[in-house]
Amino acid sequence: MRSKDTMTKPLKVEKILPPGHFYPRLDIPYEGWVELERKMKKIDNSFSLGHLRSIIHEIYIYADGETTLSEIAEKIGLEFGVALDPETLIPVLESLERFGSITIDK
Amino acid sequence: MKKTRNIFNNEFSGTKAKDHTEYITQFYRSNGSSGIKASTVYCKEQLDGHGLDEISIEKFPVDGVSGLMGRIVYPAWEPREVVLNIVDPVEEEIVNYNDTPTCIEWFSTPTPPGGVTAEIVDVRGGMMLEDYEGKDVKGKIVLASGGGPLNMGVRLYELAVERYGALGVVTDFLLGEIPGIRSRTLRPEFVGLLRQPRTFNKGWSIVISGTKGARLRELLKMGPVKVWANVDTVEGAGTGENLIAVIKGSEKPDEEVFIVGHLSATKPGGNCATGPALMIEAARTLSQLIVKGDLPRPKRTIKFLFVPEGLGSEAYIKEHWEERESMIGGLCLCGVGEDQGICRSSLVVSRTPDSVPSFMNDLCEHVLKEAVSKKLLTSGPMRYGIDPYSPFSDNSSFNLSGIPCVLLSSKPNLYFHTQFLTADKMDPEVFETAGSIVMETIYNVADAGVETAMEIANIVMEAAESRLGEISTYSYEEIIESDPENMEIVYKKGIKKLDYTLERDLRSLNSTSRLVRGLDDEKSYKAFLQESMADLRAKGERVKERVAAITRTKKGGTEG
Repeated sequence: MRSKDTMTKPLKVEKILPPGHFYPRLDIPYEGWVELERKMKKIDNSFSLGHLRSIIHEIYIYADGETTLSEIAEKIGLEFGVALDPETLIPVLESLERFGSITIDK
Repeated sequence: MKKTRNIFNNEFSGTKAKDHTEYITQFYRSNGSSGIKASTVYCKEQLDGHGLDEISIEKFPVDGVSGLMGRIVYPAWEPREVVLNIVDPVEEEIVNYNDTPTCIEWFSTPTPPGGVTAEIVDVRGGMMLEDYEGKDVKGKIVLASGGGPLNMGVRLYELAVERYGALGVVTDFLLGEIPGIRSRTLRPEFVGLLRQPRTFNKGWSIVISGTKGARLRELLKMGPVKVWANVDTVEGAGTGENLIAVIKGSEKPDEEVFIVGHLSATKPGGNCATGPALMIEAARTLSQLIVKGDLPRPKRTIKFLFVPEGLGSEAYIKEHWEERESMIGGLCLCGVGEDQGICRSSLVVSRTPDSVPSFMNDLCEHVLKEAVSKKLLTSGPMRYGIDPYSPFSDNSSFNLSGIPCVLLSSKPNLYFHTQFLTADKMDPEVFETAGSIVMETIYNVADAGVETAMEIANIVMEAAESRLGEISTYSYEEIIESDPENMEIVYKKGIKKLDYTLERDLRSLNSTSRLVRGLDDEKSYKAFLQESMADLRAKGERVKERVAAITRTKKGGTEG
């Protein structure tokens, strides 16, 4: 599998919806989420983990195998009015892949 | 669109909707529980006899084993008794389930019969490893204030019970702070529900008020404190039920528009109960008007889905997966009767995610604004709002499956998920306004032909133009206030936002084509739609040109 970067093009798996409550169902430990919030806040202080459920849902719906993570992050940023660094979303993407909601281009 | 508001308003009773809320809130309605089953029976009885074409129940397992759309379903679970008392150095009651049903965290396991007596240990927040340093909580009960950015109930349980061996958790955390209105300090008496998005392997978690939390901490300053906890809960394999009521379409019965609301909740859970309560009254109203001949039968089928939140919607979508293309869109109801003065709330439309663009957003927003402008509550003007996608109810399951679903809810809510969110905090006038919005939106989509599709397209066009105008105004301000070295960046940011919004709104506009599929006039509608889209695109270009002109002028001024 190609290493994941912001040019990764995720593809959703139908009928495997991402979890409504992402913690603890996505396998990122609590400290990992706290760190993610810290990183996100460095870019945009208005970010909170409360936004993350919407963001995870949008990643899943946009994942058509053609749109890159970077493009998805830009769309989400414009939708919710937050600045997002797609790099920080890579652990979320990997966790969604392990959960089975998306596949990553090989 | 058909002028239906007065017809609906004359038939729909906000008082009846409030009465339904009162009945439903007497039950504790966790998944698979006796309370949710009783609520489902009640809703079915209320729907019977009003001329609906079908009323059925679809069942699915809630057994902790079966898979559903990527998750293992929760088992059935419900509390029977919960008591927490201080037994040493004083004897005092802290909380009990009968008075405060919100005190038990979902999926807590029972204590041994007769309960447990143990020392209680204050671990401050209890969310971080350092909170437990130097403290022996094994075999004891943890007192934590909670907090933090994530589902704190899960985290507390994982650390206190699973990692450090505590018997259970007692917390005075209050979920859902609203600055200046709802906080632990401002509302010391609130006991707010915590729900685990997982099941407990062992242990339990009891939520107490801030007042009682302070009392325990005061006693702990003077020495060891022992409490007695008796938790009686049952968990096991059960059955989930989706109650589905149907008004069959006259011309396109296979196409459907739906209203979804959840029966699952804590007790009283008044906000949750308002959804099914309004749906009963809306189903009765629409059905009766059709039966009496006061309202033409809609072209498409209208479905009313009474579900356990999340789980039920996903069971429905899974069961009807092949029919997704026929599901034109829906409204999800969660908190549609709150007294705005008492609950400090507004009636809010939360849009579908931008990845699922739909005319449903602007249509619902338009109907909401119309309804609110013609309705003055006894308490004053009605408050309302428009939100971006908020995936906090059944709307998320549908949108994730590509089916547009707008959420109508009351936000914020001072009493959200506390023991005080009772039916008496609901307002029949708010039910009536929300009912009118729901019925008008759903009926018109269900009955849409070419003319209605054109009206809806016009509503989307108007809203899209207004949004472009707002963004350009904001961009002008940013450009005018920007430093010369940042001006180009600010300009490009504004253009990007305009481009993004325009493209999304074009797709929303295009989604109206779904309303004319298979109709005789489909071809002429598509020509109209192409013209409208070209018009909107041209307006977008003009707005962008104005932003560019401002930037050029400002640059010239700056340079000059």
